[in-house]
Amino acid sequence: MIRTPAGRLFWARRLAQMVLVVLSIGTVNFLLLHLAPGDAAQVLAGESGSASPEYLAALRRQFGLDRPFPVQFGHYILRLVTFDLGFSHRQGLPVATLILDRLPATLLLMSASIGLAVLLGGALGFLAARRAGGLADALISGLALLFYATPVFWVGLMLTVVFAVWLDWFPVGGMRAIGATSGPGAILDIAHHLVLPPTTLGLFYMATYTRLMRASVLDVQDRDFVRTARAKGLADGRIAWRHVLRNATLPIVTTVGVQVGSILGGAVLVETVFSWPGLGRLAFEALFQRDLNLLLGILFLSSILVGVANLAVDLAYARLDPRIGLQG
Amino acid sequence: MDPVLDVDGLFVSFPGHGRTLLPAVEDLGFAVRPGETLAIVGESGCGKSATALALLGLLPRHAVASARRLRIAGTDLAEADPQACREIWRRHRGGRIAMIFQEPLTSLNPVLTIGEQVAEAVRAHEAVSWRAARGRAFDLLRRVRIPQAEQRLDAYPHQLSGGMRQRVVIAMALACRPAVLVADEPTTALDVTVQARVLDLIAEIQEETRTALVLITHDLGVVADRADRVLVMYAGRAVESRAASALFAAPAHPYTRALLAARPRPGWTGARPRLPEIPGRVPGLGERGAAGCPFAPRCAAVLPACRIGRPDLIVLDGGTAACLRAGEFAAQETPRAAFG
Amino acid sequence: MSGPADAFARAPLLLSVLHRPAGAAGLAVLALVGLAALSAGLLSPGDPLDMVALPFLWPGTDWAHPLGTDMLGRDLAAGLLHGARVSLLVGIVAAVIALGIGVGAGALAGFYRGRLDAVLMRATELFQTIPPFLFALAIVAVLQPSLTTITLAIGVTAWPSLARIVRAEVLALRDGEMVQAAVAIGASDARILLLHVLPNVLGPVLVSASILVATAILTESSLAFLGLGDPNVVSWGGMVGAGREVLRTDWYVAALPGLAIVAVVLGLNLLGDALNDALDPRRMRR
Repeated sequence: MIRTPAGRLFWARRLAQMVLVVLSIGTVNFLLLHLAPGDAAQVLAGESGSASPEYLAALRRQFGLDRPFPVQFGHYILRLVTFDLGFSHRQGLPVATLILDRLPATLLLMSASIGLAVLLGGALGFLAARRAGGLADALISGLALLFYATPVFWVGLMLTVVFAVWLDWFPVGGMRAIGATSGPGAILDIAHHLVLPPTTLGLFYMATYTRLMRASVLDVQDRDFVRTARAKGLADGRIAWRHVLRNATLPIVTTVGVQVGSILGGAVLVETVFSWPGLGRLAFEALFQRDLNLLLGILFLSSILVGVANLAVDLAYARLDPRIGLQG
Repeated sequence: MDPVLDVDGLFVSFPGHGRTLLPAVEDLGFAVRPGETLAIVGESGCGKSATALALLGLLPRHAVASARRLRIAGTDLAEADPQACREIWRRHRGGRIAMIFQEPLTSLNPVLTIGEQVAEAVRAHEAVSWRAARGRAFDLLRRVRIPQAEQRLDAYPHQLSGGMRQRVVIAMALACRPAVLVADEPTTALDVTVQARVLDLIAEIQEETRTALVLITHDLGVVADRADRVLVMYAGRAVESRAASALFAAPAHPYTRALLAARPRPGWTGARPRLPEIPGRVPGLGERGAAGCPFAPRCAAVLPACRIGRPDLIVLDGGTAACLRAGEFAAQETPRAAFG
Repeated sequence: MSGPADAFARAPLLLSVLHRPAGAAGLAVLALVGLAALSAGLLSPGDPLDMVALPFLWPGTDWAHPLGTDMLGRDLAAGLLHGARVSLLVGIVAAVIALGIGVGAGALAGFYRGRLDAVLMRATELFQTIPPFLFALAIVAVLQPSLTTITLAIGVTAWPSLARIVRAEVLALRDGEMVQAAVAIGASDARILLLHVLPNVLGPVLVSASILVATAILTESSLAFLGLGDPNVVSWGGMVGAGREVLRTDWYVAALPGLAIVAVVLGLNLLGDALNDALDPRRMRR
């Protein structure tokens, strides 16, 4: 990929874009810090008032807050570029360490949710389109409309009531049982915890993809090449699988890319509801402890995550659609 | 020799507002023998494409089609409803009767390779492995004169020119040696320079395989030296159906004459010539209930009697025509010397 | 697309929307919620945050409090009525802010193209890269939660997709005959934009607006659920958040306000669907 001139241009542009994202979000974070009521040191210390003057002075020195504004800004950006996100005094660990520690749980939750949403949404949308106008279509479309309007956190609570409290099928929250063993048992344990959270987060996006897939299939199955496939004498199932589905999936892939940021936002809510030990839960903790530096660090890293995910989706799209080369 | 395609009393209609059915094709009949070419000619909206799709059972779900006889390669499908008898039609399509479409770009799946698309046409009717089907696809691509066929197998449609794509579509149609080939405006979407070569290719293949060809076009010029028989359709009905030689020598229906007059002279390369257009337009599906000859409002030779009843088919030299004055016109020499 | 009047020539848009079941249902739900918001002061005077009865009164057990009370003895029905005000207010104002930025940026980018377009689109891409909910959350957390900061935070994070839609529409219109004719007779840029371009992008903007309000209401309730609501007013999301504490036993405290959110957002989405169909008949074939 990197060997062709077009490929080189693609990667060069993407790299430049990434740098721009880092700089801009650094700026946004810096401005937010200074927008906060009280001086930045107090903001960084959190729970203004409770910090000792010595501690505040140390913070000012550490963040260069006693210097002129442009110098502060330069400093801040420089630190971001070297991935130095500061220290969380509340948690007693560097922000970068905290975030990287929580990242895998969020990635697991997100990929499970996206997988569920795409597979189920794709299948339901496909079914609805094949039965367009029929009872199944009305049922699926109505359900999609309903889930599309339901707040993620509320779905989480209601699923908890039904499946964790009443039926007691799944745990109320967390990612592992206390005192869980290692090995295959641990994987099963995590899988057991990994049912309700992705379902909660996935249902909303499943609704999106159901609607999208239905429209997409209706569009594709009227195209000329589908008629050609029928004229060849291919069986209906084969046409649906090879010709309709393959092309109808393309808009879904694009949308997943666009929605990664939104899904990450949903993860904050789901992790809060289910005490899932990920980035979102960390953001919620930071919120409560008024640990703004940690919160802004999460915002910064999430944006980079979205940037990387978008890149991955673009690469996947280029593989799925031979017409699309890599473009900057 | 018996006709390999024998159609009689074909009706196709589409649902209109409320519960009405609007006729698109009415009481159409024709027969084609192996190696023979039948041209179906008319302006757009005359029912040509609906006829072609009906032959393959490819009409949209909401369309209603029926025929007294629809015999293709020895099997009469008139009683087999495409929705109910899916498997019968599926084996029939591509196997005994194949189709070449108008738009070679949109007729090919953009995300599958040429090789995959040709090979799956083979595999739809023969139990062969993918590897063997790919070999057949390679042969077929060479057969339709695609250079570097080996590499082209792995190319995607957008990487080929329009003419090459149409050759791929033809290769797919030939995959299972169909007895009947239906070509719906096969060259309309192509460059003028490529059109003749694609038509020559089709003719050559037909020569080799003795396939019966139904060539659908709005351009009588394409038909002149390629068709054995010509069926001129207007507003869903056959208005003239004759041997090509007889038709071109003395067209019997005023619509045929108008179509002939409206085509560009062969060999014209300068600025677009001003064609004598046929005034008016083909009546829409909902406007066909009126008594009288449907062409009467646009006809230059209309008589008062034409507006009263539908003209019967009159038997002429080499076929039939549905016009009160058909005998009179068929006796005349060609109105302009430039045809043929 | 023959003139500015064209967008309004389809004036019976409301009728067309009402004719569709989705549109009629959506408008009915919204009218009901609007009515609840307007009559909240009349139907349940006083502060909905006050304790008015015994705590944990289940719905239907006391007709003075038809939907029951929460763990602090606050009337749930009163909370829902007053909460409708907050949801609609924040939703609509935030959507107006997002519309202002989105339409402004999209129209300028599409109309002037070139450098301005490049700059505005980079900014849009950037805003699409920052997860919108986390962004809004950070803004509210930094500025301290109040109706103003919440509305502002939602407004400034919700506009990017709208900007893209508007830009694409304006780009197409820019080369149209109508705009070219206006350029030819020497109309000023502002005049062309306001009189000839913007009225013609009204359709897609209207559809987006209903979706924007829905998204804003969802975001507001999510922020409130996390404890980032205005502490001085009652909010549906905040009510769900409070009900979470007693989920095991008294789940209705969290369930009821959630249903209210679902109803409003569903109404807005139905309206959006109906508007989309009414404005784009090509999609109505099925």
